[in-house]
Amino acid sequence: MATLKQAGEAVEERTVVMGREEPLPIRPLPKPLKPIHLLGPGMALTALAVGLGETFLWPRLVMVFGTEIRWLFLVGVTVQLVVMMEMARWAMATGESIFFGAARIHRSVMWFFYATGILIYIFPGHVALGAQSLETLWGLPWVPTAIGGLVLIGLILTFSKVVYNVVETVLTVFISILVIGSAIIASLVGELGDVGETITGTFAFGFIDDAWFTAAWFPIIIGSLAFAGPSGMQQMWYTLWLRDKGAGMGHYLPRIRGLRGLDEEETMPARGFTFDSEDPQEMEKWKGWRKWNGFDAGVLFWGITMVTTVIYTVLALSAARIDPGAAEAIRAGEDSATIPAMAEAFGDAGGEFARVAFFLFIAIVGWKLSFGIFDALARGNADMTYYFIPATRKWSMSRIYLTYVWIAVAAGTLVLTLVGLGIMGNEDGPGFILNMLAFLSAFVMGAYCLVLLVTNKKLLPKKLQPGAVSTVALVLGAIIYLGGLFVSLAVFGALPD
Amino acid sequence: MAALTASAGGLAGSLPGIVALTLTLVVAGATFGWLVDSERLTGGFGSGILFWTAALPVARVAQEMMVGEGIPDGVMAFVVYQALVGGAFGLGFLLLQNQVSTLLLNVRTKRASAHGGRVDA
Repeated sequence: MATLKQAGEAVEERTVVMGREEPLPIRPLPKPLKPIHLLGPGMALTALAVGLGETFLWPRLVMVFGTEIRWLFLVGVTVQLVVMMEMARWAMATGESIFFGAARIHRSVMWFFYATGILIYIFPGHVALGAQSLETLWGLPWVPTAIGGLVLIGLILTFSKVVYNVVETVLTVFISILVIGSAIIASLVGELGDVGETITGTFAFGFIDDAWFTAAWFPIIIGSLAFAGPSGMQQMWYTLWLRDKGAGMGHYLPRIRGLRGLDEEETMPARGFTFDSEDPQEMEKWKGWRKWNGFDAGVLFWGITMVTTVIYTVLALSAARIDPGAAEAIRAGEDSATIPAMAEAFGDAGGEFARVAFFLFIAIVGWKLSFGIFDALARGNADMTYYFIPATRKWSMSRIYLTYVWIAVAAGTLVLTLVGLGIMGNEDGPGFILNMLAFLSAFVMGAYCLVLLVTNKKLLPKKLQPGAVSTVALVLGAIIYLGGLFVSLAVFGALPD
Repeated sequence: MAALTASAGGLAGSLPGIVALTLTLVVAGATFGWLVDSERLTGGFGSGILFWTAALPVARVAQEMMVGEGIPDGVMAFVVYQALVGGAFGLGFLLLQNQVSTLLLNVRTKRASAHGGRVDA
């Protein structure tokens, strides 16, 4: 690190070496945002996290194994909470995405994530599911509806001024509507016993069913653990939202802009920045940032995820109580039959309003998932492309981002069209590609736990490194995702489902 | 995915229930707004969730009295359950309210800037 010289002499910039890439210059850490009254990127991540895992997959497991299985969900979401805090630690300390952090380990690690993101998320299964709900409800053909949904996503992202602001607003509004609406349906159809069972089951630590360790169920249990909370690469994209929110050292990095804001775009620096962790005043500010992140992650992310899954478990138990046919459909696990069955059961109990509302919520879940994923995927890949393919820097980060958005829309449209024409096997893609996606999704989650252990324990200055609890949780995460994947393949010969 | 046709039963049958519940929730929401504006409540997440923990059971009982089958048997269990769901409802309500308030404030600020004025939060 260079030292400061006497006034009047040229002053060398102080830098901190972190891994293989360019050292990070030191800048003052901005004052932290206040928690409680200010929502953050945790909401965007929560909106992505609350998907089919919480609304369908885990309620199904409860129907099959009883509410005591929910302790696994609690473990899975709590591991994800720690992952989220550690992702934020890196992003706020450096202003860099975790992809850049991976490159500081070795660029091949970063390129692995680049390729994985495209492979996992190019198939628009979420918006397709939402469109299928609307077809069931109103007879709208699902393929053009889904394509319309994708184009709408592209247009919203393209014509925003500051993209992150629009993303946070849209996702927060939709997750709010989802929580409000599903609470109303639960209010109409549920009973106290359902809630009591669900909550007590959440703390049934140590409950094990022998059936979990069979070829039929082990891959599903591991897959469900991976889908408790954010799955796949969603947590990694959180670091980019933090940067665009201006959290921590992200304050010094410009934000991605849509077409309406391109004239105000600033040049993206070649790397992030860090602060002087030896300065007590800087460390006081750092504690404030960690507190803000703690609220964002603990209250908003963990709280909303737990509340939503309790609600949907209550809804599933209610549907099963109202209609045994719905119970069988839920246990069988085919969402194409389960969703209409649950909706019909809610209609019997809560009136036509409840039935219609449930279909609409599934449509909302599907669309907002694709909205968040398309933004995040484009954002992540733009980040890696801009920084590590120098020839692309003749374009701005925002233009590269918009290009990726429309590549995703075009690819998704092509897939949906091929499925609609019957050329592709099913709406989610050919079987061998599905198997690869299942493998990659669990693998990448284990991989990012290991990346975080290296970036946060080895590259960050000592005073910024995580403590023992976080370290153990990251190791546990790596064991669950990678170990579970290995056992699924080696022992049961199946991929996580 | 097999396409199923929508049920023959329309929303019309649910209309009284929808109207009654909407009415009671709007009254509760307006009450919350008045309590915050008059500084009887802070408007933060904690007080907001507590408010709806109390308000949703009242709204649902009122709805049942107006258009439903009256207060159900096991009224305590009903009220406790509605209170728990009210907490969840309150969380969603506060998130939405926070977002809408921020959007409205931004619009007002832009308009005021355009006219050279200032807007207080």
